[in-house]
Amino acid sequence: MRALRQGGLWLCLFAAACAAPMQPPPDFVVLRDRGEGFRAVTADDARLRVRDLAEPTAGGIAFWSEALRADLVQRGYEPVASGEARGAGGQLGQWHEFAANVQGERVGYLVAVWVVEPSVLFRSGGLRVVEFAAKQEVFQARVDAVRAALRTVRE
Amino acid sequence: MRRLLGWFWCVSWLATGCQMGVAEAAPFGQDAAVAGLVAAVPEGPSANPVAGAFYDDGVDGDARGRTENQFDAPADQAAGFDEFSARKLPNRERMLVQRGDLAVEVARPEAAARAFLQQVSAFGGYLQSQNGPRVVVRLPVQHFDAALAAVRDLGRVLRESRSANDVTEEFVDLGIRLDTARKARERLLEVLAKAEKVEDILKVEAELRRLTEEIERMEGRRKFLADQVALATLAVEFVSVTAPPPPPKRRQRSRFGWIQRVGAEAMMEGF
Repeated sequence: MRALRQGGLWLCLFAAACAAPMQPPPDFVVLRDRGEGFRAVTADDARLRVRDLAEPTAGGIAFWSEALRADLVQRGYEPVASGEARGAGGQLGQWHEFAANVQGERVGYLVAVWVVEPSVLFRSGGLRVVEFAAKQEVFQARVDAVRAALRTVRE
Repeated sequence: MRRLLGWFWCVSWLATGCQMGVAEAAPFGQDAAVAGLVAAVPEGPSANPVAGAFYDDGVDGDARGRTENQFDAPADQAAGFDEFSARKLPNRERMLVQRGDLAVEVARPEAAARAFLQQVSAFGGYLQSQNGPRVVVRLPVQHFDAALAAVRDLGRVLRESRSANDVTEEFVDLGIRLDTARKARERLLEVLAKAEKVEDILKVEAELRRLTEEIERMEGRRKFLADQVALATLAVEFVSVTAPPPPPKRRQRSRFGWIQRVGAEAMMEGF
């Protein structure tokens, strides 16, 4: 009986660890929710991806957010807006919205980042990055919903 | 004796008749003389100039540039200098309004403009207007060629044009008409001094006013022309040397691996 309880607990913890990292807006279909990352798309080809990237967490959200923004600006991305993001657990993250040209097309790009502290059981700690990209007009139509969905990101 | 007096009267009439118009022939005293004078004074450019001094109008000698000697001739020498003879003046004596327009390619437009303005100042000229790298200056006409050469020395000439507008005829014509108008005004003043009837006085005064305005207008125009002739206008545009296109910027790769893996390109191409 005791072994059963322990097995159930481990199963719950495993299920929690494997749960989708965010709840995308309704129009998105999830293509992949584990493995190399969470991916979802819409019928009009808006793309959403969540990844966990192993990096030292020492810098904190301010450091990593600025490092990301500065690099994208250097690549030629045009900053549109920035703001704070609160994940499902209330942890503070940061989002940046850009406009960019990709293969001659105008594209909107939103990236949000959280610092994920190491977890005793499953995680070594690092960064959780949410990216949303689409052609400019599609992006404009969906970016508010995606920004709202950032509240569902599990840190 | 009678024949001699007759000849003298004829010569006098011929000498003054054109200016006096019908006044000399009027047989009925002062009223007729007033009417005649009013009819004889010049009215605008269509008036028929006869003779007179050119330069007692306040235009100083310097303002006339290279034509100074010709037009400072005494009044009796100037008499008979009509438009036909103005057309026969040699070029060096003509009154020319000179203008130049240049565009010069230089490395540093602001510095070149400053150097040019200093040169213009040394020539006795001044800045008329400036709009960014384009400057318009006025300078004494005798330094016009030197100023053009100075501009050419500042850089590569992209565009150059110059023009000379001949205003000799207009200037001479104005001088003749001005002289005629002044004489007419003097006669009107004499008539006014002798006039007794109020109606006559009012008529003469009205005509004096009109004539005075006309004289002032002509004087102003002559001064303007003299200024235009004495000072040449030079417009110069300093164009920056076209910089070669900068070498393509080598983007420094981020030292953080994860940052290199995010971006719209990866999202749109390798999703």
